[in-house]
Amino acid sequence: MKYINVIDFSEFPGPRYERIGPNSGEKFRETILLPALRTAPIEEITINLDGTAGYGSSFLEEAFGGLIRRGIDHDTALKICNNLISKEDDSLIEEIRIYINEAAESAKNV
Amino acid sequence: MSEDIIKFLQIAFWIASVILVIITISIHMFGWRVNNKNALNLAIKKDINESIDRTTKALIELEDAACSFWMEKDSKIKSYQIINLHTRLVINLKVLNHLRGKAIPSHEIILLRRHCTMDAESSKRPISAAAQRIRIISKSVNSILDSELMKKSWKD
Repeated sequence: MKYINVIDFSEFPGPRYERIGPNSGEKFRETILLPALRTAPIEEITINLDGTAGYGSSFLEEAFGGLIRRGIDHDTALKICNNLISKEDDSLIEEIRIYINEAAESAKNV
Repeated sequence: MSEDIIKFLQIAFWIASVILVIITISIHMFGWRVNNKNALNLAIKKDINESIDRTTKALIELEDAACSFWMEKDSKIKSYQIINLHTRLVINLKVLNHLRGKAIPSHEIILLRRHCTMDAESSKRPISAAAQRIRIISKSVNSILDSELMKKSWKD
């Protein structure tokens, strides 16, 4: 079982890209999410979103919607949502699901 | 004979006294229970109303900050402040949800976060009051204010 605490990445999740600011969604995806997906089966990855100061939508979109743009297939990306923990704000999980679906839709139209 | 009657009357008096005491205590206990229940209900209603006021304030603060951030050329509001205000709003809504047992309007919470914070660090600003982002922020705020969770009532 691979357990990812976003708070271990940063207490203050940042903007979309690293060039805009620190602790970005891009960095979280590239340094935490993608390596985890390469080393553990998707069903065994649990991501805990609690404990941070809050999320901007750009962080969420880039970290999770960005998985689709980096070649992770739609079903695999959606499976991550099944193992997301967010006791502090349930709506984050639904929002992440929306971004994954929108990114998959955009990828289809390209 | 008369002694027997006196003895009987004494016993009857004592039994009646004991019964009266028991009845009095029972009535008092019942009264206390009703009072306690009413006091608890009133306290919960007061908490709910205060919580609605706090949530309304948090919602309006978020809307004002977001509108200032997106629409004013020299706004002093920073993107992280909007994220903080949104987080505070969610905390307040959760308290209200705990007190009332009614659903949090998640769809509007998502819309608000998205349109208040998406690409806040990199998008072109200021934007017009007629921009879709501003319209959706205002509409989401109104929808949350009008949700069942936020309605003041003496019924529940």
